Formats: sequence, C-alpha cells, structure tokens
Amino acid sequence: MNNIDIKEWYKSEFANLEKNLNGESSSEVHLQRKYSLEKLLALPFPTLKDEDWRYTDVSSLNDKRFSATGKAKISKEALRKYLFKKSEYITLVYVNGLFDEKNSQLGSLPEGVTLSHSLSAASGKTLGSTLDTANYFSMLNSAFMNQGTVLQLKKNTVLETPVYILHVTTTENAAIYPRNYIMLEDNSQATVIENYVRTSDAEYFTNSVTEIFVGENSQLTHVRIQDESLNAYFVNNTQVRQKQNAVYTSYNISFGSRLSRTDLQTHFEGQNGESHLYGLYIAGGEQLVDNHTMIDHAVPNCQSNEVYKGVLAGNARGVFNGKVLVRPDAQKTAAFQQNKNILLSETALVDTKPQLEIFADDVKCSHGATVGQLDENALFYLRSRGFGKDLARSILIFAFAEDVVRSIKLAPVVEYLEGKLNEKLNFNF
Amino acid sequence: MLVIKDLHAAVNGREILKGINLTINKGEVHAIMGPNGSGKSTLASVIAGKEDYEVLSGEILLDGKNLLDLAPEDRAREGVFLAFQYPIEIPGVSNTNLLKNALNEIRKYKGQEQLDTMEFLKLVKSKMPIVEMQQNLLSRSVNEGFSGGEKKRNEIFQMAVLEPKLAILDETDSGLDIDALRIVAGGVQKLRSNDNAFIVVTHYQRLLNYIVPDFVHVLSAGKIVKSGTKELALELEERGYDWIKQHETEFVAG
Repeated sequence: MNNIDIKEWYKSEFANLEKNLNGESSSEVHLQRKYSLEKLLALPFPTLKDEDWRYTDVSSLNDKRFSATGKAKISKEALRKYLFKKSEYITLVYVNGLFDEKNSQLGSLPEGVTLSHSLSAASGKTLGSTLDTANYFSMLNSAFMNQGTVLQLKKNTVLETPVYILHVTTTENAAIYPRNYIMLEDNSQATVIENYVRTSDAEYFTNSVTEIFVGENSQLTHVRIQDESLNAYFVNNTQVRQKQNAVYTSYNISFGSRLSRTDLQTHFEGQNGESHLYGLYIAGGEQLVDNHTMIDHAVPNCQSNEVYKGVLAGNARGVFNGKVLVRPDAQKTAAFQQNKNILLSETALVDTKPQLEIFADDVKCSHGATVGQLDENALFYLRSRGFGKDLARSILIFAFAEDVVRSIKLAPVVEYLEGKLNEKLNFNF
Repeated sequence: MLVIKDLHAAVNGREILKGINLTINKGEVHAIMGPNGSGKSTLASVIAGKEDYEVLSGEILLDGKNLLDLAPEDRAREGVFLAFQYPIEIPGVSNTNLLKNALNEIRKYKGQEQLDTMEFLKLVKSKMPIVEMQQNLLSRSVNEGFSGGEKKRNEIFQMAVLEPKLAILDETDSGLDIDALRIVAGGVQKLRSNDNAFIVVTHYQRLLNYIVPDFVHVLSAGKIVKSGTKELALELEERGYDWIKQHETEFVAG
C-alpha cells in the first residue's frame, strides 16, 4: 500500500495542474475539471463487489500513485514505426499526453472541419455531457483532462483523409488523461484512428475518454489500437450518441497493457441507426484485458452487430461483458452479438457474459459466446504440410484474428496490424 | 518405398486397425477400398501422423525410416503428403503464401536453399496446368469460400508443388461432380512417376476409372481382407461390399 491516501494524492495533483493553467482557471473546461474532481473525491474506488468490476481486480491500480508529467522529446526516427506506410493521414502525435506539434502533420483541412488538441475548442458544446458522474474513471479523466483531440465536422462535410491520433508515453510513472471529442454534424463522414503504442516497458497509466456524436445520416469509422507497455494500465471510456440514420463502426484492438479496461457504449437517439462493433484482444503472460460494451436500443428500427474475438495465452485473463438493451419502444430492432475466445493454455481464462435485455416484442436478436482451443484438425492439416507445431499454431491464431483485422477497410491500418500480429506470433509470411 | 508391418491403431481406446501389412514400391498406385468404418481413412491419417490415433504396435517404414518416430511435420518433410477429405480454410493467409512457406519448410529440412518469391512463382506457374489451377484461387485465402471441387483441386495442386514421395488421397472423390473428378484425377495421373507412389483411399470404383491403380486392397474391420489388381475394384463395384463381408466370414470360418 502506498502511504498517501489516493484522494489526497488527487488533490495535490490537481493543485499542480492549476498552477500551470496560465489564466485558464475560469474557463469552462476548468470548471468541468473542478466539478469532476468533486465527484471523484466522493466516489469509492471500484472493487470486485461492484457489478461492473466483478471480474477485474483494479486494486493494484489503487496502490499506485501515477503523476501527470511534463513534455518529453521523441525523435521522428523513433516514431516512424508507428506511422502507417503509404498513408497521408492527418496525424496528431501526443507524448505523455501532450501535443507534439513538431511530429504532427495536420496539413490543410477541408472547409467545415475543425481539428484541435485544445479542449477549449469543444467547450460550450457537449463536452462531458455523455459521461456518468458515478463512473470513477470517467470522473478521473474529467478532473485531469488536459489535452486531447477535438474533431468537429459541420453539416454536409466529408473528411476523406483519416485522422490518426498517436499516443506515446515514455515516462515511468506517468499518468495521462487524453480526452477525445468527435462531433459529426448531419450528413458528414470521418474516420478516426487512435493508437496507443509501446515504446518501452515503463509502468504508467493511461486513462482516456472518447466522446462521439454522430449526426443524422452521418458516418464515423473509429479504430482504436491499444498496444501499450506490458507494465502499463489502460482504462478507456468511449461514449457514442447516434442520431437518425447514423452509422458508427468501431474496431477495438487490444494487444498491450498489464491491465486494460475499455467501456464502449453506443446509444441510438434516432431511428434507422447502425452500430458495428468489432473487437480483437490478444493477451499472454499476466495480462488482463477487459471489454465492456453496451448498445442501447432506445428507439425503433436500429441495427447493431457486434463481434469480439479473443486469444488468451499464459496466465492471461479476458473479460467480455456485452450488454444489449432493447427498450420497450425499440420495435424492429435487429441486434446480433458474438464473442469467440481461444485459450492457448491451461491457465488462461476468460469470463464472457453476453447480456441481452429485451423489453420490446417485435425484434430480432441473437447472441452467442464460445470458448475453445485451436482446432486439432486444422493443426494437423498445417503440420502435414510441413509446418512445425508452433508455427502451425501461429498461423491458426493469425487466421482467427485476421478475420477482425481484415474487416477494417483501411489498407495501411490492416497492414500495420498484420505486422503487429506477425510480430506477436513470431512468424512472417 | 513404404512398408507397413502388422499395424494396430486405436482411437479413444477402440482398436480400428487390426494388423495391416502393406508394401508399396516406387512407381505404384495402390487403391484402398472398403465399406464405411472399415478403417480406410484411419490408415491414411495414421501414416500422416494424426495424433488422435494411438499406434498400438507395428511399423511404418518409408525408405527404411520408421515414420512412427516422427512428428507429422517431419513426415511431410520426409515426403509424405496427405490430400484431405475436408481441407481446412485459413482466412487471411493466401494460398500462394502458405504453399511457398510449406515448400521452404520442407526444403530447409532437406538442407536445400529457400526459394525466393520470384523462383516460387515460376514454379507455381509451371504446375498450374496440372489441375487447371486458376490464378484467382492462388491469390485468395487458403480454401476460403472455395467450392468442394476447388478445395480438392487445391489439394492436388499443393501435391504438385511439394512433390512428395508418397501421396495419400483420402476420399478425394467424395463430393465431386464428374468434371471436377476428371480434373483432379487427371492431375494425379500427370503426377505419377517412377519415383513416387500413391495410396488412393476411396469408397467407390468411379475414381479408379481415372486413376488406374496397380493394386487394389479391400479393407474390412481393420484388416486387408483381399488384394488384387484393378479388376478387383470392378468386381467389388458389381457385387458390393457384402460380397467381401461374406467372403471374410467364410475365410474366418474356413
């Protein structure tokens, strides 16, 4: 145990933050920070007794005293391997949570697009409006949010070039609190890729929040790759609000972190919306990877489609909790959910909990969860072609994961992820 | 080339093969026929090294080397190839890529140089006509979305590229229409040489019209109960497997 009470620690961290505000202390963003800090201080730290945290023990996180840290330098050279090949993506680089202008590439943006690393760009809008004030980590993020990516598209705006948000944390013991805010007004389209990369074995804490608003007839493709240091802690809360005919597609890839927890919630606020949630998690050693998703069918005629796949080796633990809520009004809902897991060792474990809560009677819903091993016949097939046992296993794991990776319609991202998979699985075809 | 001596094998504690003896020389094609459940496919899998099967006793020698001491991959590298009845699909791995790496694994084992992509593609091109292989099947993921016929064709194509000493076709004719059967069997005919040998496992005589065997063996209840030349297959087709069972009963009784 640490001898400083965590709440006292937050207070002193907050005092440090305020010292560096340079007259921003009466800004709306800061008022939100203060409000959130107050909420945070009143909240108990989550334990296994909380329904939402039943399978994920975060007590080790409660024992750490991570600290917001200053700028750090990173060379263009060192960043190169995290940039997608053959892509001209709009790129925002954050080091220790702080915008690195030198390494970023914003280019010229089309009319109707606002892109900023300063949260003040989102103030006066709906920043923070999607968050549950009883959620410990959301409030933690809101109390300390400093910078993040604010992307706004005005009505009838199509941003063809994907926005790539790269987070690099280099400092031991750092706490970073990225806040992303994405607002697509009606009839607009964008693609956003968040990538949290591993540059060392440092122990640090990333606690991020992403708020997304998809307007009428708008479409957002959202990729998140979490490949943090294997000693890092990662918590993310993503909230999505969809208006009529809005399509939100998420690819949520988790490779890194000692402990990672993502909460992804989508809410249909208008009819004929679509949510497509794809997830892939690969963990080994002592890693714990927890994905909580919630799809709120609050209105009729919406569709959701969710496929999460996981591979767990060593002593790794996985948690999948996928809730689909179909409210009484939400007739003609179509909801499909699937979670497939492969366990590669006797000691790997997964808790999978699909939850369908249906209060409407004219709906089409299905869900399923599987936990299994690699197919013995498939292994034999590959070995009978001359591949050794380990390589045969790697090929099959690759194929299992590739299914999700390939569904991303962005060739440079697919290539990047395939490279990661090859690296992880120790083979290169 | 291949000598199987008094092979007994079981799955889940149940003995399936009950003393198989078989000698296959270079350049020969042996058909193994028999009713369902007679152990034909088990024999094919045991030779290739499937671990679900427990070998109780016996030997399988390939050019004097006991295959039973080798892992399935090493048997493949020694020159055993099993064409599967149900080839698996591998999404995300291209057919060409898998095959190139398989060939290089085998070459590595033999101490031969690895083929680079250009050399490999040249080789592939030269083998494509053997089973009328289409380019699009090569660039697609292994067997993904292939029809039954395309999967079988792909198996024979792999065989053509890997050039095994001993190829085992496990019910390659099952589920094939007549055109696909002709292409697949034609491929095998083209691959026959004085340096290799084939075991063709099949339930029906039909395939043997295209791949004419040197010898036909009838397997029943885990034993070879009758061996002969290609005429035996025709006789079987005419008289059915009951004839063998009857014959076997007489044999045992006698």
